[in-house]
Amino acid sequence: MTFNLFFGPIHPALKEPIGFIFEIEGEYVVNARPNLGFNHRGIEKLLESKTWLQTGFLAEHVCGICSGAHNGCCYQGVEKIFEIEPPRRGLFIRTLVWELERIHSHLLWLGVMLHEAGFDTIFMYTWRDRELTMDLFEEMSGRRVVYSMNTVGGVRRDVTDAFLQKLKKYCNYLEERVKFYRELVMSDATTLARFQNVGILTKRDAIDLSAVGPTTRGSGVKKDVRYEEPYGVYDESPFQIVVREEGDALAKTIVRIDEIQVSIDILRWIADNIPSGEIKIKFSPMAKAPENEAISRVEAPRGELLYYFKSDGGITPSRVKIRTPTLANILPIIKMVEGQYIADIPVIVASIDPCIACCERVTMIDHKTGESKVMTMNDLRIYSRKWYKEHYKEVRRERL
Amino acid sequence: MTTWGYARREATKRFFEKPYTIHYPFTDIKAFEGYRGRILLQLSKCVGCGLCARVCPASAIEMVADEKIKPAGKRPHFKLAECCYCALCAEYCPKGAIQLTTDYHLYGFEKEDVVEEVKTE
Repeated sequence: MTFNLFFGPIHPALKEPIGFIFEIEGEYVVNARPNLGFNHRGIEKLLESKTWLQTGFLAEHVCGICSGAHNGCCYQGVEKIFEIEPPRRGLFIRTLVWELERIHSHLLWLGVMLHEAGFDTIFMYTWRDRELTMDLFEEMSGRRVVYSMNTVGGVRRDVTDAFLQKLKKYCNYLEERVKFYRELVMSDATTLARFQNVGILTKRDAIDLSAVGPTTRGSGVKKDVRYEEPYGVYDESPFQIVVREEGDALAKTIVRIDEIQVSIDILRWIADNIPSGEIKIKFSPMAKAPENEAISRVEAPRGELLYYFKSDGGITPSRVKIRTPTLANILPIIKMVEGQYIADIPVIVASIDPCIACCERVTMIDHKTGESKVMTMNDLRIYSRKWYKEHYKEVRRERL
Repeated sequence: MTTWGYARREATKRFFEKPYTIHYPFTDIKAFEGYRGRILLQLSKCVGCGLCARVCPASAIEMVADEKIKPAGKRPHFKLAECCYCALCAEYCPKGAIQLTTDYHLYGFEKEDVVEEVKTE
């Protein structure tokens, strides 16, 4: 008989809601059943009432961390509907925003991931480094989180030479830090014991369940929109796809750390090669679109982001569909938790970089006794740390 | 280097550093130039065309009656609790009457208390 562990929602005001029911036997998880849809905001329907120019400003409120990716992806789709091409300087600045955002998102995630494992020092360090990225965003766009940098046919603000110099300086600083984090994650006994051979997603499963982003690249699948279908200026930039074969939580961590390094290289290249000229083309706020449909894909920090637009010739879209990366990465969790300890659930869920999750509540039902118990995410985190304190030596022997 | 080696090196390095955090309410943080904060409306420049209310993605701008504004006889009123600070109104204002200031202290007991700054001169 198995034991059911309810893991999830609901507290829309706090962290993001998702529900899991984990079936467990003793300390091991046998199966997982995800529940989604606790926080339906109706953004796709609301987008149908916005003009083409206004769509992006609502789209960037879909996610607080990848707002630049949503904003850029949305306007990339609108540009395909209108069949217009932004000027080159505009494309360079757009790519700069995307890459800077990837750095800030991965640093944030790295901190959260190590926080789940109880390594709070690195959590403080990475968030401090992320703060400098936020400052760069504030200087460039005028806001820290919701940048509103893109518009139909280009970007809204230009970057100065002084800013580019500052960006290069930041790249030099961050490169040192990234090397330090990589060395630390690879050599520290705590991180190795918590991440190595934990939550393995095999290459076959990653392909079958259509995982996206660093989750799938950690399992050896070469899947990246920047690699498959280069947009922006990625086809000219020194972009290299980062892939690791192991598929465990450690591989996902290393993939993300290495992606920060790739982003740094791209930012340096942009700072050196940005052409002069116009940043946007003129666009009327009440423009009528031709009858058309378009799909726009962008590699957001968490994976592939997709926008679909349909126009019937009006000033607003007639249908909008958004597919965010985390939705594709929920099903792989089922395969990843199979046969793992309860104490590893926080690390496994965090390893996909969940944008909906940060689950607030957990219910445990014992199949033997029929008992049920509700735990918050925080309780589970404390439980996992206590459990690891007791079982550290045996787990370490088992894994290393 | 071993974990202990790292720990010792980091501890000695950080011991002599100043705290990285800012004591915010006691030390003021200045926003960067170009920050999109509280909206400033210059009434002397406004002609009441209403373009700002039409382009606003959050429908946070309401046109209210104001006899002093010529020729339209109305001016925009910004409900900043609903504003998304995209600055489209400032971008599309034909007279340059709308600006976004670096004031980020946007608070009030009621939603209606958070409004724009109006400059009459």
